[in-house]
Amino acid sequence: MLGRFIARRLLYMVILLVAMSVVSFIIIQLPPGDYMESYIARLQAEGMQIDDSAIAALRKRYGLDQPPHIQFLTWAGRLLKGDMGRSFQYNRPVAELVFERVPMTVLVTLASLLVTYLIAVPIGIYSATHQYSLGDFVATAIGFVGIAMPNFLFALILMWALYKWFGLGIGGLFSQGMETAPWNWAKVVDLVKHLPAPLIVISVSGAAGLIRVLRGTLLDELGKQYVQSARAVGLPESRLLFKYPVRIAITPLISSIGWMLPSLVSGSTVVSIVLSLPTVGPLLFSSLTQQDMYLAGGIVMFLTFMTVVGVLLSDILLALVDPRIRFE
Amino acid sequence: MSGRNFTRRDFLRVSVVSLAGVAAAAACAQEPEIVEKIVKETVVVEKEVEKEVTRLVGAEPEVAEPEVEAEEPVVKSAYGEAPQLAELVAKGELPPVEERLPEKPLVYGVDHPLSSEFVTGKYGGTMYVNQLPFGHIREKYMMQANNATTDIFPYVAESWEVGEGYRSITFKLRKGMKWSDGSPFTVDNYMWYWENECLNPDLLPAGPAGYWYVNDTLTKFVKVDDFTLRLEFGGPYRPVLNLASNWQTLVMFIARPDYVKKWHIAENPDANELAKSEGFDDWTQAYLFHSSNQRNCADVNIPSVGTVVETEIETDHSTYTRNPYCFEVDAEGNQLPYFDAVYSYKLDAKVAATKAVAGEFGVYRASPADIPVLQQNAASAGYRVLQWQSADGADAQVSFNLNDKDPVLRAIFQDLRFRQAMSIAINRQEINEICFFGLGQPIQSTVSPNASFYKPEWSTAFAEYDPERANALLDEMGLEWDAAKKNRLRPDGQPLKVIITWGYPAQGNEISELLREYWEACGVGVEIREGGDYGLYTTKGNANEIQVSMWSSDRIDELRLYLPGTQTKFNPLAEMFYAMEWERWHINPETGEEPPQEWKDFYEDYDAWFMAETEEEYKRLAERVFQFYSDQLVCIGLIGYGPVPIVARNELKNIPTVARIGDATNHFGTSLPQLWYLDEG
Repeated sequence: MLGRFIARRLLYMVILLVAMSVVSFIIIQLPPGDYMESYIARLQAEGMQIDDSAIAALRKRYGLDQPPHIQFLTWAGRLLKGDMGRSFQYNRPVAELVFERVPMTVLVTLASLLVTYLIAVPIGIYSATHQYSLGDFVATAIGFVGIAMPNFLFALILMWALYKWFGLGIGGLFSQGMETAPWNWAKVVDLVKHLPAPLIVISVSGAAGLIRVLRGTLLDELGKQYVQSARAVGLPESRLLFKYPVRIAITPLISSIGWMLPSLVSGSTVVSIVLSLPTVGPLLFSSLTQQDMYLAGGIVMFLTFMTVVGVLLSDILLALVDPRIRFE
Repeated sequence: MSGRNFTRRDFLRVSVVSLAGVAAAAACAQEPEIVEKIVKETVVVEKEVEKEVTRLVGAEPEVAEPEVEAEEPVVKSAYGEAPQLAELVAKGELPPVEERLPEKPLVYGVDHPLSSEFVTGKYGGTMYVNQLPFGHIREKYMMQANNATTDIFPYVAESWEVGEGYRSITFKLRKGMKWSDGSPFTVDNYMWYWENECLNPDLLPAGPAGYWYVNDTLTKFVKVDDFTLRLEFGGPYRPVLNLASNWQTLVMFIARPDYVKKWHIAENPDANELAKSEGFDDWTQAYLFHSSNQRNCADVNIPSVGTVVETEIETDHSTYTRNPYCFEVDAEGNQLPYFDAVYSYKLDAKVAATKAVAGEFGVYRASPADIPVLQQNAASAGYRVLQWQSADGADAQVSFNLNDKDPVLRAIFQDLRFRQAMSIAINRQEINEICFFGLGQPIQSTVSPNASFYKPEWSTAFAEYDPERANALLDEMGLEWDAAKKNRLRPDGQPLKVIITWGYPAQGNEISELLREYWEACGVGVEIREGGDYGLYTTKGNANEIQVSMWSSDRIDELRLYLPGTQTKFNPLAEMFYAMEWERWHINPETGEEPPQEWKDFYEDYDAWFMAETEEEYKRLAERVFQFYSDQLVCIGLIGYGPVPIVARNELKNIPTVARIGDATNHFGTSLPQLWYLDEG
């Protein structure tokens, strides 16, 4: 049963990835101009003069003089061989650029995910079990502020506050002078000191949303008859709560794993830019503004792949956690 | 030119003489000018010898026989070097400083005059910056201008000579100068670039760039000897001095180190295999990568002749360290730079501004809008805010797109009366007060006043505030008001509305808001859009999608203006998008759109200007070109020569208190960051 399900899903995955590669390539090609144009613009911004013949030569060298569908086939063909191409703006292999940022991205995202759950799950359960109490109102109010406040604004304010009162440097994951230092204990301590800001910013909005979801589903469950009958047979309240309704209410968290995997890689782009974190998000952003199409395409394809895998994983997990779900 | 004869030997002599206490006696039997210079030097050197001695004693306390060693320290005192390099020399990993420097190093204060503010610096420290604002210190060009851009001084070239009627130029390189890997720097490096890159059909299929052709004849590179390079042009080429002394010429006078040769098919028959093993498609790609002198995009190991060399090029930062073979020394013979390293972040502008307020940059060019918050935090964060002046004629200017895609708007924009009305509808004084703290000058867009052909009326034409006359002009054009008298109507009955897309300056949004107020008072509706980052803004502009562009009026100094084929605001292909299609036609009549006759005449004058043979011709054509520019109000200047706050750490010394900054001054370049130092107590 499970085997057939996975096989079928894998087949869909391939079709989806092919379709996505076409769509993402088209979207990346949509804006007017190409990388050479923004490259030349940047040279001109620095006051340099670039001659038409040099531009034509560069276009040809990068294959930008070919029609889009040929460019696509070249790119897709290389992708199949595992070659993500070279980034124009950094003149380095795309894979190298992306993967050197993956560890820090995974660290930040996993840590913030943990913080999100640590904040959201207890508060969500408390809110639901103490509906319309003072605590519920406070949690709800904070939750709404968390959802409503733009991430980047919160990041800027928090960054400044940390600088003003704790003397932490602005942005980045390391203090000045530590960035280039080899890894040692002091560097780890320095990293730990710099982690709270991004973790809080990234977690708060996620947690706020999750509190609402958890509260809602749990409230639904708590009103159900099996809860009342469990109570009637004298099951202790805490055991009842955690054994049945919470287990069900937690399913939205599991289905969100599908979206978690890609965000592990791309992180929260805007927050990462504001906090200047060395994660993949800012790289994707700059590749899009610079029309660095192989880098952008590479990251987008990688994200797509992670999403597809993540959704599959979360479906399998869901089925395991909740036996009511069938592989149909 | 006298100072350029000051050699290593002179240095030795001056040191010895001053030690003996016979100051002016050194003035042997040379030209009087030299005598004066050497006397001045001697005074400085006297001070230096004292310091040098204490340093040497401090460094090597075990030297107990002053009698025997007396000769040594004197010789050593000719040139100073950083302690880190001295250590390497002591270990035998690096040749002594005398051998690393050329016979005649570039001596600041002698070859390149300095203001009295400059003092001898101390070695040490790391400069933290954003986006390496003084990138040229790792990329060198033939000559170097002063901050006022009124004079040029030697740089890589020790001296130069312009041939009869600007038909050739001869550069004299520095004998004994070396690349950062220690290999010799000679004319061959220029010849290699010319013969194997510019003339190589695989690298440049269409041949060398247009500025190498004069009268349709390709420039000839002639190697006179190892240190003498002559360029022979197909006709008079007046801009050549500007070309050789401008930092924009980084794409012109390029020398390549021997290091790059192994990726070139001409030197290495296996270059294609080498390229493939490195992940490139063919040798041209690999060669481009390994030879590129572009920031962010290069082989980190490529030798250079810069003051600093790269050590790391990452996606979020780059680092640089001093070039042990740097050919520049201070007036006392200390090899530059003073700082050990540069750490350059690649940060988003808003984050960088916040970091600057927190005092995390050694130096940072801030936006005038941030002056109050910078001042507030200066004391606690340990920096000072220097007030420099913008070198840009207009820190903000706007242009109406004469080639707009909308034919109705295009017709309106092309009507000179409309542009005049829009210009005098603007209350420049108010913009100055609100956005520039009253520190800028309300000004019309034109060339810099230090240009030899400048006319004061160009700066004031249609720059007064006269909304009544503006309305009268619009009435005269027949742009009727709508029924509610809120908005004027276009000839097709639609409300007249324009979209400002601002790309620069940082206060662009506030300025646009004020423009909206002024223009809407005349019945012209305004919508404001942020242009986004440079690439995005120019891509939109190049696609002719911008109605009203806003940028600064940089590149207006004579030195910067007079470069054939470069983009200035007077032949727009960058930033001010007022006549893209016409300009395309100008470059290649098979593309773009044919301009009206008066513009054709303008282009003719403009092109002829670069070919001017005589001074009179040069001046006459310049006046015609910039008169047309002024009459046509293609760029409507708002505020110019505004304040530029420079955030400098308290430890940072030798940075000028006042200077001009902008494209023309090579940003920080002509303020000589190679002489800045960090005095960390």
